[in-house]
Amino acid sequence: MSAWFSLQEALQRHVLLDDDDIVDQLVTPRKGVLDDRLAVYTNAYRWRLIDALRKEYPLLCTHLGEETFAELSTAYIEEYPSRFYAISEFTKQLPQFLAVHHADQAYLSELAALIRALSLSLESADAPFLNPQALAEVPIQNWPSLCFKMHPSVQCLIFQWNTFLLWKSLVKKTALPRIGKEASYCMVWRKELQSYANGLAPTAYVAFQAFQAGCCFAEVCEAVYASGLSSEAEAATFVAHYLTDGLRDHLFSEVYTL
Amino acid sequence: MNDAFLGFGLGLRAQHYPTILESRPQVDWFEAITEDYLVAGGNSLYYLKRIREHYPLVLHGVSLSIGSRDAINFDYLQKVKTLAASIQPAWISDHLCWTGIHGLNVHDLLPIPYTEESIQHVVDRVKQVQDFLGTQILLENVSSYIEYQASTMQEWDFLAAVAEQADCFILLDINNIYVSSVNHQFDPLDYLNAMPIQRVRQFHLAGHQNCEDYIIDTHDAPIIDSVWSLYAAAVRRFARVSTMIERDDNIPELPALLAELQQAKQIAERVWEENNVCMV
Repeated sequence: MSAWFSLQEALQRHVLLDDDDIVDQLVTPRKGVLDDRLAVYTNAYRWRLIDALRKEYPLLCTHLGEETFAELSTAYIEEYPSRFYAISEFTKQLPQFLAVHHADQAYLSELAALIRALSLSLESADAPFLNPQALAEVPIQNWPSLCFKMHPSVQCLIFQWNTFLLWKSLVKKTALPRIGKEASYCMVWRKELQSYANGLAPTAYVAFQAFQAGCCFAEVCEAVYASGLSSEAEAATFVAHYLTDGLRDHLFSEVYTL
Repeated sequence: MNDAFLGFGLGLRAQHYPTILESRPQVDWFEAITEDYLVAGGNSLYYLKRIREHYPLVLHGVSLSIGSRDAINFDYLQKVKTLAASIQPAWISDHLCWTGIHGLNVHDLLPIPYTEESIQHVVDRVKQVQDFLGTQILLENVSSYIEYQASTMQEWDFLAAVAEQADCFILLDINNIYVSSVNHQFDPLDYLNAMPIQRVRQFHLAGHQNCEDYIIDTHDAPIIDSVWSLYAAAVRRFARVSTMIERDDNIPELPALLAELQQAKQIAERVWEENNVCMV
């Protein structure tokens, strides 16, 4: 290994692990002490990564408090040091980290996943949104075979806790709900330049899954009916309303026939 | 005279996007942090493209890690190339440093020892990067807080040698020269005087934090008088060089940065007038 590469090893080990092998390879500063100079790098490393986590998960930080969030961040940095060219990418594994290390508070991982999904929706690929006018011109007999492509920003999260209510209270700065187990669904998407999250009823989740899987209108109605959540007649009306709301919210980007 | 003079620019920051599009401030150009825009779509790219419709842009990266022993990350470079094809920047820059090894990124600009061995290493890599991107890049001098015993030359000789041998340009950060001159006790004018004039294509100006025994390059404060004086000396030597102000923390409203930019412009115009430099 070349001398230069050995220096890189030693300096990176110092920044990440406080290893002191680099000290003997450095010039003693004419003013002050070497430890302070090296601390500029070690402090900046931790500060930048914690700051990136704080910026990505501000509501989690609010919920946990600065001190707990900083402790959690430090542990995360040790387990998931950045391997990314963009510092924001380094933050993306926090939900997995929380799921493993805070399993007794599983809602924290779900809250982080929701915050991350909102962030992802803001940088997902661009696509046109489907104009309701385009559908108005489709002959009624063609409707059963219509398929709808969802906008790339649309994501659906499955929660085991009342995480969506917790998130909503944190956003609105209202009294927090009592945290408890409650299976629920949450949809996240981007409309224009704003990200949105909304709770999803079980029937709506069935419709979402079917549309996402590329099912046509008739198949989505069948899936909703087969779920036992509505009668056959109600299923078509429900899916039609789901589509109307989805078009208003820019959930769909394309319509095509099978 | 530099044939790529863009005028006086600012770092493009997200909190200023709406104001820039609504009020179209008197800024000649913007410098965008490359890594902020290597995404599939959405908000940041929307604003970048809208702003590009009205202003020249340059791309300034922080993760090229040109001095690293790790292989060059061509996946990253492909994304940079795609972005550049889309927004047509006036140029692409990054730093003369390394940011990590073993696939890690410490998200800091770590110094390189100034040796013949590291010149060769960096020059080879710059050539590969330039071949891949199909354009010459600019390399920026970084602030440093430590010096390696292994160094066999001064930082300015190292930078000049890299630029000449790799046939790339230099982004001269005036604040970084000042910071390192205090931290390592050298005369910042020695640095300026060693720079090959035709290689210097851009200046950075920024603020810092003085910790008494050393200075930290924080980009979170207004530019101090000593850095303004050094900037005047740089303009005296290099004449018309595209200049921009970097602010990455404690970012003020746009008018405060425009006032600082106006100060840069006044200093440059005064020096040009003294030296009979064409101001058109």
